[in-house]
Amino acid sequence: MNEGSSTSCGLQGKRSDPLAKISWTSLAKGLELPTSHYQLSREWVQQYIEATEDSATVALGDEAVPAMAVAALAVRSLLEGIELPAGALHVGQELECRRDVRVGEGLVTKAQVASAGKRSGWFLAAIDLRVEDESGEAVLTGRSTVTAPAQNS
Amino acid sequence: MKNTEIELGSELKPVAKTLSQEKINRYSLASSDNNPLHTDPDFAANTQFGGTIAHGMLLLAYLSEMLTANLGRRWLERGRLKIRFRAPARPSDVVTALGRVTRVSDGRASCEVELRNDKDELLVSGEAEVPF
Repeated sequence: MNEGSSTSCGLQGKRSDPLAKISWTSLAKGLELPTSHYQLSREWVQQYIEATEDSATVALGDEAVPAMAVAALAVRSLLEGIELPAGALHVGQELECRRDVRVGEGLVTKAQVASAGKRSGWFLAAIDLRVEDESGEAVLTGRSTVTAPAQNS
Repeated sequence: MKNTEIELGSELKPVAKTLSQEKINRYSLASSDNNPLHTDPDFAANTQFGGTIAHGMLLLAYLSEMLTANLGRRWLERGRLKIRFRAPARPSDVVTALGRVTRVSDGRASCEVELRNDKDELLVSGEAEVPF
C-alpha cells in the first residue's frame, strides 16, 4: 500500500493510498475510500479557528477543537479520494459528535459510499464518514450527500 | 461562558458573519478545499452560480459556533446535526446563524437551525440535537 504525506500549516496528514482517486461515476454502494491520518497541531487548529472566526470554541479553552474542524478533515478525505466533476454540489450533511477532540490528538478519517446512482438527470452519492482516535474509537460520524449533473458524471 | 437555557421555544443567540473573498480564501487554505468554485472568480463566473461561493463547511462552522456559544461542551461532546444546503452564500453576504428549541424530551433537546443571508434568503436549514 502506498503512503503519502502532506503538511498544511502544521497539520500532519498521511493518506493510505495517495495516488488513488476514485472516479465519480465508479462510486458504488460499499466502496471504501482511502483512509487518512492527521495529527491536530495547535498551529493548524489556530489557523482553522482564525479562518472561521470561531470565538465560541476559543472561550472553551485553548485545548478545544471546533467540531467542524474535525468534520472538515472528514470532508477533506472525500475531496482527496474522489475525482469530483466540475459542478458537483455538497447538498446535505449529517454529523454526530461522539466526544470532544483536543489539540494534539491523532485522528483517522474513513469514508464509505452508502448509496450512489442517477436520479432525475443528476448523479447523487451519499458517503458515510467516520473519524476515529488513535485507539479506534469514533469521535465523529456522519454522512455527506453530493450531487452533480448526470451528463458531467 | 453562560449557555442558553434549554427551554421549549427559546431562541438561541444568533451569530452573524460578513463574508468576503479573503475569508473564503483563508478557509480554503485551512481546509485544503481548493475547489476553484470558491477561490477563482474567472472560473466561477462561468458556472451556474456566476461567481464564487462560500464552502458549505464554512457555513456549517458558523452554525457550529452558534451551537457552541449557546450549548457549550454538550454540543462538542454529544451533538448531532442534520442539514440541507438550500442556496449559496457569496462574498459580501452577511450570513446569520439562527436557532430555536423545538423539542425537549428523553434527555435530549432538538433545535431548528438555519442560516440566512442579509436578503433573508435561506441558505442552510436543518436540525441540531444535544443531550441536557
